[in-house]
Amino acid sequence: MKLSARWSGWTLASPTILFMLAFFVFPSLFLLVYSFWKASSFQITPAFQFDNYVRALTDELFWRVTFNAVIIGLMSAVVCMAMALPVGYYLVFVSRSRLLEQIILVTWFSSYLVRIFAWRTLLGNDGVINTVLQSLGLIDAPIEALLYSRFAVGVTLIHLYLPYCIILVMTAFHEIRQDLIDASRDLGRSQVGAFFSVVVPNASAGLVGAFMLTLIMTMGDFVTPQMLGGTTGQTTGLLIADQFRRTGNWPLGSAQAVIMFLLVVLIFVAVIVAGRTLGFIPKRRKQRAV
Amino acid sequence: MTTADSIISIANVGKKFGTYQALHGIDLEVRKGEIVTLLGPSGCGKTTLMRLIAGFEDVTSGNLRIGGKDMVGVPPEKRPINMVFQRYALFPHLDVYENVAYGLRVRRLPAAEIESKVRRMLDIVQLSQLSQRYINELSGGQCQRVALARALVNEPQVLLMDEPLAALDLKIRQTMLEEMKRIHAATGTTFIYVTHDQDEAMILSDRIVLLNKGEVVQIDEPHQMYAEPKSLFAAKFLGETNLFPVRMVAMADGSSGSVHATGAVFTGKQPQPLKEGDSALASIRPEALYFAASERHRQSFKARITDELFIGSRSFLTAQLTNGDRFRIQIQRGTACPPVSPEAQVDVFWSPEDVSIYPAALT
Repeated sequence: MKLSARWSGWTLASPTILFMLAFFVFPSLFLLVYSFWKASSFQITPAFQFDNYVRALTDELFWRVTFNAVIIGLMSAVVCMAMALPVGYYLVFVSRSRLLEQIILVTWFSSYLVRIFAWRTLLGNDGVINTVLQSLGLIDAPIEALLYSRFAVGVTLIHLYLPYCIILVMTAFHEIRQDLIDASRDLGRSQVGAFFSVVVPNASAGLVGAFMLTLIMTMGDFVTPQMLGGTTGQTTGLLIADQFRRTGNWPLGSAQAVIMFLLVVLIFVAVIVAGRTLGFIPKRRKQRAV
Repeated sequence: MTTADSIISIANVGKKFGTYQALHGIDLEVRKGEIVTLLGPSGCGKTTLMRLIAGFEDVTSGNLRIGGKDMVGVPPEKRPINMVFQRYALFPHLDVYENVAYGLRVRRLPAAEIESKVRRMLDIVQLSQLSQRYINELSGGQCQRVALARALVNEPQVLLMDEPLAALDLKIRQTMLEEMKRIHAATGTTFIYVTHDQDEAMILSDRIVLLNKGEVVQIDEPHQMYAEPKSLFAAKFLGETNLFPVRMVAMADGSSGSVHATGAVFTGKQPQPLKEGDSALASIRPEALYFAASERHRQSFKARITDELFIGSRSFLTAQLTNGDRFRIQIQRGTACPPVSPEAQVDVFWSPEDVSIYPAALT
């Protein structure tokens, strides 16, 4: 018996669909529902009210850590993209080396926590950087702000997520045929000109994806801020995690999570609008009368 | 040598990729307004030569001049040349109009001038109706014409085309060849056309540059190259030919000739030096063999016709010499010919003018 294309499609996709429904879609919906519930003295009761949102949005701490998260996320994602674009271009269009590509993947062989601790060792008061600077006589006392700051969190996040960003950028570039670049140069563009007028517009979907995924991962990471952020480098991720882990105020945590989600959507829209305005993302095509 | 109307002048050009010598000792003069074809089997270096002219690769040795200017170290965007790519390389994020306007926009021409030039070029390639289509909405032949328009609108001194018809089916290919001749006549641009297809080369070219193993084998007009291939490679690559193993001998009148194992004698052109006793190959094209003698067709041997391959307007007969050597005879439909019969021997005639004799060792 032969299944129709439609049914074989559903059959092939069903394990993923079921998994995503069970572990992503429903939990996300629960989160949304929870955000309207009531919490009082460790009791959560179903309700439909906006108290959690009001509380989150009027909380000075929430704004401060969210501002931190957005700044850290944007900074990390922008720096990651700025480094990933030339590296990705080099690997895809110039060297075409599989080996270099795999070396980037090797950085994933070490554990996430080990790498965070490595940065603590580097940036700490007795860390490599402070010790060297002190022994060179450039500073008298260790620079404490190196560790436990927004800077420390940013540097570590860039280190952690740069490989992802490079791989995502490379995937976007792999879609672009070399002869498009040749054609652009043949028609008078320099190498840089060809990159911005042909490579970027045609890879724009993948590049926006790379930026947004890096942003979401760096913005949402709450382990790095906890380990390296000190009091000034805390982010919303940690605040939300605390609502679930410590305070037990799931509805408030849910509301905060929903706000963060909306914030990401807002940034996504802003990126698209900016890309369109600057001409890096082709305008959505209109089917004009022929 | 550089003549006054020469547009591209290539002198002793070599190209190495690592240790691989892709091209050596290339000499070529292209005249203004010519259609020159770079023809050869894959790996012969024709694409490399074209990429050198376009500026995507730099010459390793020798000299390359375009319009009298030395092009060594000049990047592709600074060369007075445009190119039609093998798979067109049209920009998928732009519509037909914007693809054609691309080069003009880079040059920052006034909007009105861009508009009029693009419109005119779209008229020439007959795509005005489709100017707002995107590339993925076009057929192969339409893409081909957009690629031509996108290159030609910049009024390049030379248009390079890299196997531009390879991706099209046979019918469209023939139409496109005629189209390209028409466009060439309309624009007067110098065309350099790369192909491995001998038919395309012969239909289109003013001159053919035949390449093999990184070297120029022969440069000639199509008729001349077909009639007088200067090497065995040229004879085999351009059209079909019969090759008879022969040994060089001195003829009674003192001239040089050759004799086949069956005793048949071949005299004819010897483009490469041969001396008495050399083993050689005598080449005669299938359409130069006849069943009747004439004043021209005075040499002959005996053969048996073993098979007929009917193609429509013509047939190919497979024939066998008395020593077993096989060869082909092409006859036009309607021409009288002996029936296929493994027993009957018939006389086959040819003219010494249609014979070329090449050294057997060289290919």
